[in-house]
Amino acid sequence: MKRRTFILLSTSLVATVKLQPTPALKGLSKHRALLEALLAHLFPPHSALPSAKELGVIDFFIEAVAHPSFDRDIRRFIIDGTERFAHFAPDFIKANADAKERYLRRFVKNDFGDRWVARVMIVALEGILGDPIYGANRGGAAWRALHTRGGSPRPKGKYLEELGKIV
Amino acid sequence: MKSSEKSFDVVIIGSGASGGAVAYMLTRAGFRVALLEKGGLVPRDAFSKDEIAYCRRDIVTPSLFDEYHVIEEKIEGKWVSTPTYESGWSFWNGNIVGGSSNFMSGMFHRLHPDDFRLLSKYGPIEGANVVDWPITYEQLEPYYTLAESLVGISGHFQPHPHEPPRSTPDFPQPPTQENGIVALFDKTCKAMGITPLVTPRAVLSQPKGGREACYYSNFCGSYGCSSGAKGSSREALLPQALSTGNLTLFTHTQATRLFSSDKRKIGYVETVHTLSKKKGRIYARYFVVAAQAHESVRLLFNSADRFHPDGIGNRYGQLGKNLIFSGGGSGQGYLTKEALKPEDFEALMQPGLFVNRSILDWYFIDDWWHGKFKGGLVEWMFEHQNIIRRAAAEIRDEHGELLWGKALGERLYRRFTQSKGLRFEIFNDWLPTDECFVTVDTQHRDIYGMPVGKLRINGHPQDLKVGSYIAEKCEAILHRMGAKEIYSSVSAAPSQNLVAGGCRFGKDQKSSVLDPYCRVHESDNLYVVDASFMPTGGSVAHTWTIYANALRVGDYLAKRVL
Ligand SMILES: Cc1cc2nc3c(=O)[nH]c(=O)nc-3n(C[C@H](O)[C@H](O)[C@H](O)COP(=O)(O)OP(=O)(O)OC[C@H]3O[C@@H](n4cnc5c(N)ncnc54)[C@H](O)[C@@H]3O)c2cc1C
Ligand code: SF4
Repeated sequence: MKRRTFILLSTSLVATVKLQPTPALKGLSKHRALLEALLAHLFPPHSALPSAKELGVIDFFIEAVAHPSFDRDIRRFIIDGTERFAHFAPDFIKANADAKERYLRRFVKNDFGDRWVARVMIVALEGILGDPIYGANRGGAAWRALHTRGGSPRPKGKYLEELGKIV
Repeated sequence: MKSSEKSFDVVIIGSGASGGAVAYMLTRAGFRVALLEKGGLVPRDAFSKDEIAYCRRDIVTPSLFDEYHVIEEKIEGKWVSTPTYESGWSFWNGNIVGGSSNFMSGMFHRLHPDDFRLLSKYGPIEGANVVDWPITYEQLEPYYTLAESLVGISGHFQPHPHEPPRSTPDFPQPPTQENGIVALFDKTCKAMGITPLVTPRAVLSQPKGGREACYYSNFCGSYGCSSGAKGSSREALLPQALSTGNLTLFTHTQATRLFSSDKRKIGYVETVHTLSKKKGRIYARYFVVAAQAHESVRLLFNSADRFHPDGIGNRYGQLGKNLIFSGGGSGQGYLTKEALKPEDFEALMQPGLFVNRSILDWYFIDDWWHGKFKGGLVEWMFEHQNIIRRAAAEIRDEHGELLWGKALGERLYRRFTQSKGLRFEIFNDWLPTDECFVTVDTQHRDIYGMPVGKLRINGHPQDLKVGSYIAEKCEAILHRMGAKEIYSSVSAAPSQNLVAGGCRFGKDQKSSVLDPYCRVHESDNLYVVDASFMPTGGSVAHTWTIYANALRVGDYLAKRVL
């Protein structure tokens, strides 16, 4: 199976890479406002889940994608997709909710757009439903909303960084 | 020898289930052992339930961009090779001290005596290289029993026509605790004339030595255990081996090549420190390879030299042949609030406690329509409780359209609060064939410059037939329980965490790599003890057999060889 197909089919993230934080951070930070607006639309208030805005998912999202443990190819894919989406929906940030919905539904009509939005949602869900130590699932609010909880013991640091390199 | 070079009685390569078992036997018998492990040591209390770190990133396995495999699959009639950094399909299973045994679910079964004589019992199968084992169940039985007490396997013996005989009346520890819904499962099975059995678990139900009892953390498989209850090599064997003072554990130390001192002897192993990248040599009288089946084969290929031009153990072209996995498939159904009595639903939603049920009724099948054939085991469990993974599976509706906003919120709420998935996994023989084997790919090298393992993967049609036969029976149980959204999938894709074969043991050196004590036929001091020795895999997960066989070989080395 080719990697592209894998990105298309998989809902899980695998393989990690060497650190390239600066270009990755740049690529994402440039579109921070757009990504923030997108996440806010995908995970809005008054839903069963706490909203992306109140959880501050954007900070997790940028940190996670730029982190060295994040798959190199998927990182590239997310950055490329963000560029394309910025072109496709230049006034997305300012658009009202209906217009945002129309933009997104049109964007996911093609395969690339569909995979990109899915991938953005999965990274966001990692933050929303991951351990609170990663910053987004504040106080375990999202776990509580789904009447679930993560396991114990909870991690003492993110990405086992406190242990140094393990493998 | 330089002062930085070290010498031992035995070097063991790999600290997982098999390496740990040999280390235990040899150090307790007073031999000086070096245990090489390519990964680091994770402290027990760092085994948190961090889904992001342990399940969604490669932190306890190598980055696939640094170290990978090449997988060959038949696509539209042609063999297609794909490096795993392209596919993302990792064949690493846990590369830290204790190996993949840290991350197993610990559902343990012995092979049946007939698994040791599949050819004699069932006859040949066209296209499959089925053979009898060179040892019998009776020879391995004492070591199954030893593993049971050392590892701490909990369970309750219930006589069943397909349950292998035991030399002790029952397990050393009572079964782990079960979720209340298991009563409904048992009732349903019995009403259908099916016998549900308690699954033996390499999980302590009571404290043992320095290990605490299981506290039902709700996140077992794919996670390390912070109580020590899981019977990993790291918890059950290595602490005792270290306490003898005879074990030197080399972490971050990868074996890259074995060097022969003459035609029949290995002199030293070349190593690389995976952090500093410094090379080293470790000398010993005996060498034991326990790197997990496909990686052990790779090491033997990469150790080719003038005495063994095609790889050590490959004089008759048998190295890497007859690679097997565990055949079968899996399926699931959702038990829902709507369909269950309130008290049953309340019990179902309690986190932590296990299902712990297996069905052995179809281990051997005698069907009025399909005839007699070797079947398999079914393991029952809750769907994995990983929260992110479960949520990520819900982002599309029935038509494959992406869902977001309130619609997604509602769907997640329903999924998490109104239902729980009950899952079955089928384990049947992955028949050995000429089209399933390991070699190395000299075009592809890891960051240490060594050729990577190349796995050609192909299942036998019989594997699918057996899997589908059993899946149908399991779906019927779920239907009868009132489960919703029932599905099953039986495919020829391998279970990469259950890999075996590649260094078959046997009496004839022309058709096997190892002798019945797992010594490489053409060497006097080289042994391979992970699941690569298995000529056929049985219809259960392999690890109890891996432990038992490695204890047997360790015992033999300690008493008769060293
Ligand atoms: C998620 C999961 C669930 C599982 N559940 C079950 C279950 O329920 N029941 C069951 O029976 N089995 C289960 N297993 C399988 C079980 O873990 C393995 O069968 C068993 O651990 C294999 O033992 P091993 O010694 O061959 O390999 P491992 O335990 O993997 O040990 C091999 C070790 O060798 C090291 N190594 C490799 N190459 C080198 C080298 N060149 N130099 C130095 N070190 C090296 C590796 O890093 C690793 O630590 C599961 C596995 C996983 C991953
Ligand atoms: S505490 Fe029990 S459930 Fe949790 S990882 Fe350990 S053995 Fe598994």
